[in-house]
Amino acid sequence: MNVKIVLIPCMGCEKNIGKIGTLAALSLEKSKKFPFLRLNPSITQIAAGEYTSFSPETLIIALNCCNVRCSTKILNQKSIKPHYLINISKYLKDINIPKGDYSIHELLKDSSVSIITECLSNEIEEYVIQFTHKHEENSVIKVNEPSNSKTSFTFTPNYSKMLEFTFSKFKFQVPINPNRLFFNWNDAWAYYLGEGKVVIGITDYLQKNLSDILICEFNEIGTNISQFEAVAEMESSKTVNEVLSPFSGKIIAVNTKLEEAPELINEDPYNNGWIVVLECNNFEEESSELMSSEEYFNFMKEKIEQEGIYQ
Amino acid sequence: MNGRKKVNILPCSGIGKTLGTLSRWTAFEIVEHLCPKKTQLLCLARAVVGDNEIQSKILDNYNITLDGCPKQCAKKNIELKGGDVQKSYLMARFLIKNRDLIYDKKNVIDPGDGALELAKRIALQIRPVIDKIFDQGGAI
Repeated sequence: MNVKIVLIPCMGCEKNIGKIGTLAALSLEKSKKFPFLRLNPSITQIAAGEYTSFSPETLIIALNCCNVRCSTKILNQKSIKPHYLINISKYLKDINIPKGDYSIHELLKDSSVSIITECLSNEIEEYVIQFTHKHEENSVIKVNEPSNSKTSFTFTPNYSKMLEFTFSKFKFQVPINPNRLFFNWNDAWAYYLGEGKVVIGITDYLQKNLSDILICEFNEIGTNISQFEAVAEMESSKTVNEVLSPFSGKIIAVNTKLEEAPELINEDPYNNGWIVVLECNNFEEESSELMSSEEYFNFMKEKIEQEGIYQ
Repeated sequence: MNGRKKVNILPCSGIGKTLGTLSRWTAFEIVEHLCPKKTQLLCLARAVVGDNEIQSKILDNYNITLDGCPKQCAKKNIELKGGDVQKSYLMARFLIKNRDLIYDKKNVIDPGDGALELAKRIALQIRPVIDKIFDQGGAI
């Protein structure tokens, strides 16, 4: 199988990480290691035709440099689901990116460009193998899909207001509903539906921290969970994270849409990105151990200011 | 003098030709060296996705776009977002009068010293326009 690769870099230019990401994407293309077709991210509205009719053997990669994730969002705007998402910011813990005022010409000589180019090259090489195997398996074996036995549930929360905190170029939101919304210290929220049932999801802050969420796996319906035990596990382009339940209880519904579209958590964490519904064992008592929207908002603000990762 | 509004500099995100690189190098010259107090650099992709912060900056400030090719992604995208483009530039137009500068037209990563010199010359030509827009509140 001849895999063609379409690489969409964000072409960031505002900060050093954006400039380095842009240089790394261009260097990767120049290396001729992969059969790349690279696309200008800003051409979608101007020459939409360039973003259509990708063949099935085309591997689409969105390459982002920061948590705004422009490349992923541009593809989503065109209803294209990338096969693979890379966020260069995940390499930051291992690589020293120059801080302060560096010109593009100084960055061209900086070792971080070649290191990141190599990291990208290795990561893409690994994924091309997986993509090829997956594609070949799908073309040979057809498996009957099991019927969907998961409980259907529509979540329509009522938020009276949205608290917002802007730090650098990022805006963090926390919704308010004084009687129904609770937060734990692990950045999960619970929305009380009544009759001892809560919907659980993660906060805007956590989804931004995780960056592109690629997979969301839940515990099965019927599983009993202790308070602060994991109800789901998410793998993002940066890390793996467990969603720790604000309440104890039994899982009675899961958001099956996340199996196909985990990015809903990034796009709409307090509504369509809900994760599971729980029948609580002890709602009254356990809710007293959780934070209100205002308390969580202050807790989150403090964390963001201390962490400094959004500078 | 208008002390609040800045001049946004939006280079294209062109990727296939050196003119895209030239638009970015010119933008860096303007924002980082020539007019750092009057201008700010914005990522075009952030404007395309409708990022709230960038959208406000586009609407609340003046905009100069620098495009590499005639598709004019930067200019058209800013107009699509409702921004007023005070002045748009096409890099190709500067090549005719600067033929003395030789640069590597096949190297989009680093087209070389000739391209850097060209970016500096273009930036110098744009500077008076920035001063005028900034000082006269957008009128040019």
